[in-house]
Amino acid sequence: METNDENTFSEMEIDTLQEIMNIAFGQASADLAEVINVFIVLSIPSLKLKKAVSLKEFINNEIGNLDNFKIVEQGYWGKSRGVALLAFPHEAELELIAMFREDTGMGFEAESSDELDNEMLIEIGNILIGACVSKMAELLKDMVTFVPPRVISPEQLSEAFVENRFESESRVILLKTIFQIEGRELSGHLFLVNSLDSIHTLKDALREFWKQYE
Amino acid sequence: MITIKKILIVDDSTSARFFIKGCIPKDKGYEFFEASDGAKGVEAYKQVRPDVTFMDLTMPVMTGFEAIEIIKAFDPQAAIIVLTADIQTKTIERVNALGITTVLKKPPVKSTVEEALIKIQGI
Repeated sequence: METNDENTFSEMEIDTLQEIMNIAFGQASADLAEVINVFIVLSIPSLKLKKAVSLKEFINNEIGNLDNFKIVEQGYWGKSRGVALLAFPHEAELELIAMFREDTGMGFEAESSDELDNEMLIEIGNILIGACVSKMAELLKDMVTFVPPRVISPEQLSEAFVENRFESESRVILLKTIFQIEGRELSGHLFLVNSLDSIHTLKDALREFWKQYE
Repeated sequence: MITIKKILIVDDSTSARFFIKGCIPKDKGYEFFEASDGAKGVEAYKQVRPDVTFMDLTMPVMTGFEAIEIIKAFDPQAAIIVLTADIQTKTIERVNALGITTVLKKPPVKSTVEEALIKIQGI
């Protein structure tokens, strides 16, 4: 299997990374569907390389009206470091929380409604992000460590947010997938943002992954 | 007993199609055909009449669910192996309801692909 320029991805590398995210998110959806009684309709993931500083603008363009969203953020590191952003429109977030509470009976001990909602959202984020990122790492023979997830508002997705995680002018690898809950007007977006410092490691991991099929 | 000569692989991902081919024994002289979405898969099925079809589920233009329904209506004996990342219990139940008994999860593994082919051949 051929690869080209060492500072960007070939079409086959992009396609394989998208396929790996597809497999990983499939696992994550199955995990969530075991906890709450839902059927998750998957979509085809996409990969883009963007400047870190344009992260918020990119996400806003992808999902539209970011201000209406609530985001679960979780950092991770292994051979590469990155951050997962799971974004739900406000109405979808409330519906998902209600379903989660009904099916798990969790969170009744929370003191305030906001605290309760955030707790639920973090649990949902933990399942989807944890399963997806771990499965991708497993397929690429990596092991990841997670920072505890937290809920952030769109305003917090600021330049400072980016600067704390990536060099602003550097490029990042953005993997995105959209998912819908069948039978409900409920969808969410998962973005995995990885530092491009890891591109050579990632290319090596892809070469290893392909070897089993050559 | 079915003798496999022609294999159709329906998946929107080039690498996924490459992975499946990599799991199929190279010394059997199989002839491969590929399609990149469900609609093209249906078209290819009607033209090629493969002995076995590997079908993804999440695809643009036409999903694997829809393609299976059309292929099964056209040829109830069609031997289809679903190879999918969508491993939710409800997905497997829906695929089974379409008359598909072999569902493999992605990424494909040589031993399970070979076993599925042996099962289809009724050896």
